Amino acid sequence: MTKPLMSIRGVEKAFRSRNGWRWASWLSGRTQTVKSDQVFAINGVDLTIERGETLCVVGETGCGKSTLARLLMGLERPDHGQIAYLGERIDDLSDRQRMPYRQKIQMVFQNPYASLNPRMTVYQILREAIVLHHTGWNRQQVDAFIEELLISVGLSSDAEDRYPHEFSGGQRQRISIARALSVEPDLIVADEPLAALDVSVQAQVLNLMMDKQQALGLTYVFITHDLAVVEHFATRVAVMYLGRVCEVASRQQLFNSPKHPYTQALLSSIPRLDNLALEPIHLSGEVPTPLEKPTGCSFCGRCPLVNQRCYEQIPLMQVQTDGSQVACHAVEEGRAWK
Amino acid sequence: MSLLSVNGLSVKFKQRREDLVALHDVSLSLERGERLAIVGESGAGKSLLGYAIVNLLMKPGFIAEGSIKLDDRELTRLSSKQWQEIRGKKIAMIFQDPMVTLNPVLSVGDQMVEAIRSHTRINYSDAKKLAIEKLAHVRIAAPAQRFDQYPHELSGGMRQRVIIAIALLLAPEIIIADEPTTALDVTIQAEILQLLKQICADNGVALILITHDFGVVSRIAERTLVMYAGRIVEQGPTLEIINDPQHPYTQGLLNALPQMALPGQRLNQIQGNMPPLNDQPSGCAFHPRCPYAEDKCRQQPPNFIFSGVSTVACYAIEDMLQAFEPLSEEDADD
Amino acid sequence: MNVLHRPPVQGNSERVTRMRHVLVAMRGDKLALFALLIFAFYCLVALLAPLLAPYDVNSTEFMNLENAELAPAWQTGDTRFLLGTDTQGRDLLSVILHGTRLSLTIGVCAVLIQVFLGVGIGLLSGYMGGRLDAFLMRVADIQLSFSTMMVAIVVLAVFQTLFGHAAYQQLAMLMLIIVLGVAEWPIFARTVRACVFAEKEKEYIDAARILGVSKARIMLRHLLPNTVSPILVILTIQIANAIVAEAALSFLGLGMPPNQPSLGALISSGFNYLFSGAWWISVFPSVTLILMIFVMNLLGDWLRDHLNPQVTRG
Repeated sequence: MTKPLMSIRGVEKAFRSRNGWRWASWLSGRTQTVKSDQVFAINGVDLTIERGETLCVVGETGCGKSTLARLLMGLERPDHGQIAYLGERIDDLSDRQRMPYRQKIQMVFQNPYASLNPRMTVYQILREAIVLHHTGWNRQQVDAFIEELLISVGLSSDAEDRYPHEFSGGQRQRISIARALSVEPDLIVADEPLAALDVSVQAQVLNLMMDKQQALGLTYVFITHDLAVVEHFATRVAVMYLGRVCEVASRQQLFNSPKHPYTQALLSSIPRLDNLALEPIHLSGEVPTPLEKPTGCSFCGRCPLVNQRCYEQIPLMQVQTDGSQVACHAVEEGRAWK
Repeated sequence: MSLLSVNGLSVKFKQRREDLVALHDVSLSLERGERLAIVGESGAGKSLLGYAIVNLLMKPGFIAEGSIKLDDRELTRLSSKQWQEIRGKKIAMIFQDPMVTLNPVLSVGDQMVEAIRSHTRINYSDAKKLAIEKLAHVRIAAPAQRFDQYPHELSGGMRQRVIIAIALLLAPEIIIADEPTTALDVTIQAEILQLLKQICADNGVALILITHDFGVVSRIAERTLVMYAGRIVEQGPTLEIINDPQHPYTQGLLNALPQMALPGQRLNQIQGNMPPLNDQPSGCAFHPRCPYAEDKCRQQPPNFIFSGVSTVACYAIEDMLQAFEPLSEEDADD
Repeated sequence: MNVLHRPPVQGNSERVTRMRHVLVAMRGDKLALFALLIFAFYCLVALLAPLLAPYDVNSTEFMNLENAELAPAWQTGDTRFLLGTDTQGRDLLSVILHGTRLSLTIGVCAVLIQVFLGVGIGLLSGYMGGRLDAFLMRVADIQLSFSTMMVAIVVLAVFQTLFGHAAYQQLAMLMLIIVLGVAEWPIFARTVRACVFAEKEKEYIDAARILGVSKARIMLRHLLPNTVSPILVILTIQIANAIVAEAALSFLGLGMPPNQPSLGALISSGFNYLFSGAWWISVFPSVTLILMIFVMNLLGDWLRDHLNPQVTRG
C-alpha cells in the first residue's frame, strides 16, 4: 500500500485555560505551569487519512475535534506526537518551511459570517490566496482564474466586486470553498461547514462539496456532530470522545454495527425520520471538561458497561474482525449491555 | 374551544417609507395539552410568531392585524401590566441559548424564587420549597444543592433543565420553546426532548415547539405547522407530514435531508434562497423556487385546502384534488 | 441585506462604502448634521483664518494699547472691533480666529502622533500576544498612570527652565504637540488591542494564516481595516481632549505664549479682567472653545452609534 496522505501519531495538545497574568510568572522568573490551569483537548490521537477518501470526525462539543482540525492545519502545534504529510513530518516546520504544504491542505470553516474578512471584496479575498501560491501569474491569468472559480462554485462572476455581507450564509460558504480551492489543494479540512446553515442550503453546499471531490479528486476531513450528514457523505468515520478516538470504521460498519458503547449511544440519539419508533439510549451525565489527563478510558464516567479496569487502564485501538478499530475494554472482553 | 387561537395575525416592521410585512395572515389553534411544532428555516418568521404570541416583539415590529385569544380572552389589546400576569402564569417561554437566558450574577435559586414571588404572595421558604420541587421534577439530581449554585457552575444541559423548571414554576398552560435544543449536543438533546414531552404529559401543559429540525419535531410534536417567508404553508399531524408531505416546500425540505438520499449520491436540493422581507414575490411566496409553479401561482396567493393528509396552501395540490373529484363542488356551486 | 446593485468599484472601494454609509445615516439625523456643519465651519475658519481675520495679526500696528479693552461693537458702537479688543488692544475677533486655528492644529497633530504610536503598538501587541503584549501593555499602564496634565506640566516646566523662555516661545507649539501626543497613545493602543483580540479569534484570520499570509500583511490588511471604526470614534473625542488639555496648559501659563495665543491662552489672559468689567476678553474665546468641544463630542458619540456596520446592517 502507498503512504497515507496524512498520518497523525500519538498527538497530544493541552491549552492553558487562563492566559492572562502569564507575564507575572515571566517577570518573577517562574516557568513551570500550574497543572489545574490546563484543559487537555487532545490526549493521544492516531489517525491516517488516505488519498481520495472522506474521513468524517464525529463527536460532541469539547471532544477535541476542532482542535484536531487546527493541529492538522498548523494553526496550533502539538505538545507531543507527529503529524506527517505523505510521510514527511510537518508539525515542527517554521512558517517559511510550511508554505508548500499550506497549498496542499486547505480549510473551510464553520461560521460563514466570520470566515470572510468583512472589509475585503470577494475578488480581494480570492486574489490574496492565488497570488501567494501562484507567484508567476500575471493579472489577466489571476482575473480569469477568479472568474472561473466563482462560476465553478455556483456564483456569478459579478459577485467578485461585492462584500461578504451582501451574500447569504450559503453563498458565503461557497466563497469559502472557492478560497480553499483557489490554491488547488489535495486535502480540505472542513470544520462543521454546514452547522450554521439552513437545511435546504446545507444540501446545496454538501452537493457542491461532493461535486468538487469528484471533479478534482479531493480528500476531505469532515468534522461534524451531525450523524445524518456523516451517514450520507463519509467513506470512513472516526468517533471522538474527550480528546481520544474511540472508534474508526467504514461508514457501513459504523452505522450497521457500532461497537463502542459511546458510538451506540450517539447513533441512537439522532432522531431518525425513517425509524420513528427508535428510542435513544440514555447516557448519564454530560461531557466533562477535561481538566485532568484521564488515566483510564475517557468515556468511563458515562459508560453503562464500565468496570474497574476502565478507570485504570487506557484502552488501545484494536482491529475487530470486520476491519473496524475500537478502543474499548468492554468490547475486548465481550461485556454485554445490561 | 381551543386553549389558544390565533386568527389572521399580521406582524409588520415599521420602516420609514413602507412597513415590511414579516408575518402574513397567520392563523393557528392549540388545544389543551397539545404539542405543536412550528418548523421553518431561518427567516421564515417562526420565532417572530412565538414572540408575537407573548407580546415580546422587538421595537420596529408590531402586530398590525389579527387576534390572539387565550381561553376566549383577547390578548392583543392587553396593557403591559396585564401581560405581566399572562406571561409566566399562563404562557411560559424557553429560549434557544441556555447561556444567556439565566442571569449570571444570581444563583439558580434566587432567580426561581424571584420568578415565583413576582406573581404570587408567598414567603421565601415556601417559594424555595416549590423551586426545589420543580428542580426535582425536571430530574436534576440533588436539587437542594443546585438551588444555591450559579449558572456558570452548571453544564449546558443542566441549565436548560433549570430553565424548564423556571418555566414550570407557576404552572402555566402553555410553554413556548424556541429552539430549546439547538445549542445542545445530540445526546443531551435527546434527554431534554424526552423531558419536555414527559412534563407536558404529566402536567397537561400545551407546548409550542419552534424549530428548524424535523428530527426534533418527529420526537415530540403531535401536530406540525410548516412556515415559509412569514406564511404558514402546511399544517397537519406530524407523522403524516413527515411521511407524506404535501406542499412542495415541505417536500423539498424533507428531501434535502441527508438521510433521504442514498449515501454518496447528490442530495435533492431546493434551488435558491428564501426571499428577504423587502423583496417578497407576488402570489405564492414559494413560486420562484417551486418546481410546479404556474402562472396563477405568480398572481394570487393560494388558499388553504385539506388535502386528505394535511391542510395546505398550494395550487398544485388544489388542481390535483380537483382532478380527482371534479364534480361534487362545482355542482354544489351551481 | 442585499444592497442595491452598484457598479464595480476599483481600488479603494471599501472606504467609499463606509463613508457613504455614514453620510446616508447622517442625513437622517438633524443633530448630527448640525454638529457636522459646525465642525466643518470650525475647520474652514481654522484653515482660512489669515484671510478671514479683519486685521493682520503679524503686523506691528496690530497691538495698539490705545485701543485696549474696548467693549464689543454693539456696546460701544465702534464698528472697527466687532467683538472688542483685549488688554493689549488686539482685535478679539482676529485673535480668536487665529486661536482656533492654533488650537485645532495642535489638537489634530497631537492626536496624529497618538494614532501613529497607539495603532502601531496596539496591532503589534494584540496580534503577537505573549510577552511582547505583556511588556507593551505594562508600558501603557505606566504611561496612563501619570496623568497627562502632570506629565505635560513637568516636561514643559523643565523645558522652560532649562532652555529659557525665549527658546520655549519658539518651540511651544511643537513641544505641546509632542507632549500631548506621547502622553495619550495608550488610549488608542488599548482600544486597538482589544479590537484585535476580538478580531483575531475570527475565522478569517485563521483562513489567512492557513494560506500563509505574512504576519505584517495580516496586521495591516486584515486586522487594521476592521479596527478603523473604534479608532475613528476615539479620534474625534481625543482631538477634543487634546484641545482642552492644550487650553488648560495655556491657561496655566505653560502653553502657547501670549504673542501667539491659542484659545486657552486667550481665556487665561482675559480671566484677570473678568470681574473688572472687560468680560468679553475671556467669554468669547470660552464660548468658541466650548462650542467646538461640544460639537466634537456629539460627533464622536454619534459615530460610535453608527460606525458599527455589523449592527446597522443587521
